[in-house]
Formats: sequence, structure tokens, C-alpha cells
Amino acid sequence: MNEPLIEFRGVKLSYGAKTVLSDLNFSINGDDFVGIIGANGSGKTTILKAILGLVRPSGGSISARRGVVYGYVPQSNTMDRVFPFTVFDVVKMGMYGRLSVMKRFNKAHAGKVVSVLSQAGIERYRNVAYRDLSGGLKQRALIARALVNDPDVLVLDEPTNDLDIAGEKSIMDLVENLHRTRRVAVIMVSHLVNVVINYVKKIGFIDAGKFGFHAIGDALNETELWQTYHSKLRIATVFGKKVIMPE
Amino acid sequence: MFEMFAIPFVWKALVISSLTGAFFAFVGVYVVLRRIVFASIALSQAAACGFAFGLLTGFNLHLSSLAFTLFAVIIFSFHAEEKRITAESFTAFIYALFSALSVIFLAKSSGGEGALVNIFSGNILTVSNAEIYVTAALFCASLLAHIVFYRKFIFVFFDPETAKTQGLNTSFWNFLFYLILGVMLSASIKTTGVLLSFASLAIPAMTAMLLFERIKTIFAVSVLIALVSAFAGVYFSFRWDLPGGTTNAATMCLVFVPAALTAGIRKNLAK
Repeated sequence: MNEPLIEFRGVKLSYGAKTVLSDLNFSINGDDFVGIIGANGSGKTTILKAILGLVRPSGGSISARRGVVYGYVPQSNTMDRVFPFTVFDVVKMGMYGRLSVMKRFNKAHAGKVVSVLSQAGIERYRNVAYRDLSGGLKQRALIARALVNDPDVLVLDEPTNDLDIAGEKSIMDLVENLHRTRRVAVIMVSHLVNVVINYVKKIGFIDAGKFGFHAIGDALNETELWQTYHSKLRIATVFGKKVIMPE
Repeated sequence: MFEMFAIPFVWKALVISSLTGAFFAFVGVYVVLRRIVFASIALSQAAACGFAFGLLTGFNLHLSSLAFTLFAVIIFSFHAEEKRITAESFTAFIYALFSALSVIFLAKSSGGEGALVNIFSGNILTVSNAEIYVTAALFCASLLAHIVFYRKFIFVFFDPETAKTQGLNTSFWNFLFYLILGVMLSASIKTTGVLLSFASLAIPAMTAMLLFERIKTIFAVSVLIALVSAFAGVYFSFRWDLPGGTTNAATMCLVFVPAALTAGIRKNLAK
């Protein structure tokens, strides 16, 4: 069980001739809860796509433990509002990639959907149209969908985008709770460092095309923040929580 | 009222317009949801262009139409994303290309003007038995494919990125969708014409989406609207000597108007 879930060895990620990130060396273990932080356009989502196998490395290698199951949670605003699906439909869809075409969606599958809706705290919205939900509830529905295949690792892309402060806390509490109770590894990218720092165990800053994970206590210093955001930022502790603010 | 359906060409018209209408109305739900309505008219135009090419050269009309449609299917399925040109601008280019070629081919073929009208509005009153059998067989095969692959299509169209993370080849499913649509369009373009194909792909689905929220209900109501319109189209065209396909398309539009009014009233009442 000590074998890493995912391992990057000297990985280079490029779009055509343009190299976005290079020399990526890190591994994700089964009990990890990691945050990938970087300025807009720094390559956070590219790393995420490489982890999911959507972007192939132009150098080095990415290996994943045999049979590892990913639960991907995209940004909720990427889904087109015109699709008339209920929350139940959306969560059920999470099984469609794995169900063979001839296999029926049966009662056991439906029971599984209800169970993950309950874990995401949205069982009572199961018959509501997904497009009519608030941003926070949409995010919960997508998290439920990611859980429906019993993933080894939850991969979240900017899960608190467009949410108010209460929504951010609610989603992060849910993710932390799932990490603890379901023993699922969590990888999330965010540009909101304030939201992430008080939840993750390890944090990785993207700095001028370089990247590496650090334990949360070691990494979080003002020099690292300067290198990431090129802006003077201060770290303070308020009621036991870390807060980052502009100087 | 129904004695007209004992006349062979009338019931054949009803069968062909019901089969094609039902299929296009079913697939039209995906077309409207995916915002590719104009891609569907460009495909219809490609089928028509192939038909015109067949008239000019003497090649088999259906095979020629199928070849042109498959060419358009490949273009739509695999054209690379280009930041500077939107997908709908690209669709406009394809539509303009096949429309222009159709007119050029017809201008140089004998009986071009009459054929031009037929390609646009179809001719459901001159359907042969062989055409009915071929259309029925393709209808069954296409519908079966859509039922069997329903879950894959839905997932890939709603959230392609997540579908990819689960190992679905989104390019393949996209191609298969356009391929099935293209084959049905090329098989029916001689009878339904560009106008009825396009109307059947867009209007029943739009109408159903205005009235209902559940995806399966929307599929069912869309098909029902196409069937009612097919019946009304054949009935009124026989009764008042109107062009069949055009009357069918006009009926779909007539059904849309009260549906839009109902949806508007319901929305205002809900406020």
C-alpha cells in the first residue's frame, strides 16, 4: 500500500512547441490532501489534466497505480445550462463511462446514487433541475457524481470558484470530511490560496514553470508567495487560521 | 376523412414523413441541446449537394448524396479548434460551400430548376416502395444505435471533459453521432428536402424543451410533435393541393407558436 497512487518523473508538459511546465517530480499517496496553487495562467489546470491523463507529457513519465479510480470534479460553470437534467440524472451520469452499453442501470446503481447524494448533503434536491441550483449546490452535485465510482482520488478543479465565503467554507468542509471518512486522496487546484491553506496537508506552488509539493508548514512563507504571485503578500494567523493579505 | 390514406401514394407519403420526422425529431433533441442546429442544416445541404452532383454526372443519387454527406461529417467531427474563427462561422462556410456547389451542379444538369425546388422542399408524394424499405431499415438501425448508446452520447455531450477522464473517446462518439445523422439525411433528402429535414431537426425539439423539463419526456414529445405534423402535413397537402414537405414543416412551426405562448405565460405566472 506504500506504492504512490500517481508518480511524475521528470515530466515536461507542453502545448505544441510551447513548454508550460518542466522537470515535474512528485508523487501522490493514498492519504494525501494536496493543493496546487498558482497565478492565473500558470499551468495549474495543465498539471490536473496530466494527472487525469487528458494531457500527455512531452517528456518524462507519469505512472499511476494499477486500477486507480479518479473522481473528477470540473468547475460547475463549464456545464451548459440548456441541458434539462435533474440532480439525480447528473450524478447517475458518473456511472455511464464504466457501465457497458448492454448493462442496465438497476436498483443497486440507483441506491448508490442516492447514497452519494446523501454524503454530499443534497439528497433532497435529487429531483430538482441541476441548472436551477445555486453554485454551491451544483458543486456538491458534481462532487457526488465523482464519488459514485468509489474513487481512490478526488481531483477538483477550482471547486470554490464563484462561491461566496459561506459557500467556500461549506464546500471545503465537505471535501475535508470526505477525505477523512472515505479515506480518499484529494488533489485540488485553486487560485484562492486563502481558501486552500487551512485544509490541505501539502501545498505546491507553481513558480516560473517549476513545481513541487511541500508540507504546509514548510512551504508557506512570504518569499514563496512573492515568487508565485509577484506581489507582496503577508501571512497572519487569526483565531488559529492562516490568512494571506496584500501588504 | 381518412379515406385518402387508402390511396397508395398518400399512405406512402405518410409512412416516409413519419419515419424521417420521428427520427430527426429524436436526434433533434441532441442537436438543439448541443447548439449545432446550423451544423445540421449544413449537413442537409451537403446531402442535397451530393444529390445534385448525382443528377449532373449520372451517378447513383443516393450514393452520391451519401458520399458528400460523409465528407461533411468528417469535416464537422474532426476539424481542429481555431481560436480566431467560431464554430458557427465555420458552419456558415460549409453551408455556403455546399449551397453554391448545389446550384452550380443543378445549373449544368438537365431539368435543373425543377430539381432545385425538389431538393429544397422535397417530394414526399412520389416515394417508391424501395425507398420506404431502405428508409425503414435505416430508421430502425439508427434508432437502435441511439437507444443502445444513449448513455454514452448523453455523457459525452453534457460533459466531454469528465467523460474523457472515464476513458470515453469523445471524438469517436461525436463522429458516430454525425455519421448516423448524415446517413439518415442522405437517405431522405430526395423525399424530405433540405427544408423539412432542417425543420424536423430543430422545431419539435425546441417545442418540447419549452414545455417540459425531463429529458425523456422531451424526447417523447419531440417525436410526437413530428408524427402529428407528418399526419397534418400529408392531410392538408392532399386536401388543399399544397406541397407535402413544406406543409409538414409549416405545421411544426404552427405547433411551436402556442407552445411558446404557453411557456411564456407559465414563466410569468411563476414570477
